[in-house]
Amino acid sequence: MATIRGSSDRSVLVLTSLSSGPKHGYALIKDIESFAGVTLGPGSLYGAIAKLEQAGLVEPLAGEGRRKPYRITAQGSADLRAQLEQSQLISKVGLGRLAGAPG
Amino acid sequence: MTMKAVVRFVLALAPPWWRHRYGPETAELTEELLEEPGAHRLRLLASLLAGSMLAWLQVRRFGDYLRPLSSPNQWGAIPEGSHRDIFGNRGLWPRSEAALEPGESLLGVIDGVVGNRSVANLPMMGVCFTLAALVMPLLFHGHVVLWSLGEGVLLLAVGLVLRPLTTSYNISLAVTSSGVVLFHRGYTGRTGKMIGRMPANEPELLKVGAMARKIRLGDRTLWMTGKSDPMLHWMSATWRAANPQ
Repeated sequence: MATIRGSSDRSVLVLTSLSSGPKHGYALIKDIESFAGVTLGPGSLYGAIAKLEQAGLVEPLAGEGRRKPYRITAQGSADLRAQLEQSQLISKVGLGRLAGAPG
Repeated sequence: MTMKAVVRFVLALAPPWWRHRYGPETAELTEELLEEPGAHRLRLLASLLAGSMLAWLQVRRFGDYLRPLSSPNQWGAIPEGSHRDIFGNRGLWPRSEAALEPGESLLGVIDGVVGNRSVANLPMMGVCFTLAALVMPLLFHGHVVLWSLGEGVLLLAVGLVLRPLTTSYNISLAVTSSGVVLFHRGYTGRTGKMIGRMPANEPELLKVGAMARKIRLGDRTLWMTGKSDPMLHWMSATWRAANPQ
């Protein structure tokens, strides 16, 4: 199982989940669980959402009752793309070096 | 005590702005997760508690910030009723709904002083002198020197009287999409009562100091910190766009 170390990791997970369409809290938790094997708690999830909303990376949509779906903004998509590309680059370099390393 | 009551209790530990904005959603989500078979109650409550506590640690503003001019929509949203700005700083918009007009967005905030800088900082000097007079004897096993204590108290009193008389205050100047809003600023950086609104006048640079710029904005003379240059450029550009020659 993957280890979530900090709020930036949680933010990437939330943004990745929202990149496939708007979701409310419960759907976000289940989606993240399915693609990352990580179970976020309600406190962690809304902590990440609060930061992302304040940074303008996600925005709430009108929802029914207390449930409020969120969607990723254009800036959020650009931010996620940049972060994932950087991670991909690091992974590529790291795996390449491991392949060449003895043992 | 039922689980719902426990959830409500834990959520009550979160700061009011967070509770107001995210409380109902978080409560509903927690209740949904608790209803699932095999739900880890303690784990859910621990997460809720951690979220409530972490909300208190969200950043507050120390010093100036301005939105880069190249990204016009970056700082557009101030959550309604949050009593916070988009960086989560408490007290910047004490009455956010009243302070922002519909469609108006916050571009940045710059700290400065209106009136006389020495007078504006006199009460703080008084507090420092008073504290020093009280703490130094404790550190060096001496006696409190009354004249030293009196000096601090006198500075504080004179400062508190002179500030309103000379209208010398520490201020925060919030630059918005339609002009500027002046707020009183406390020594901790917290923004207080709104002083007034001004349209995006062309700022006139009166004096450039090492640490500050003296500018005239409308009918007010302000000392702004050295980081105010982008704000001045922004205001000039806005004014020129609105008043083409």
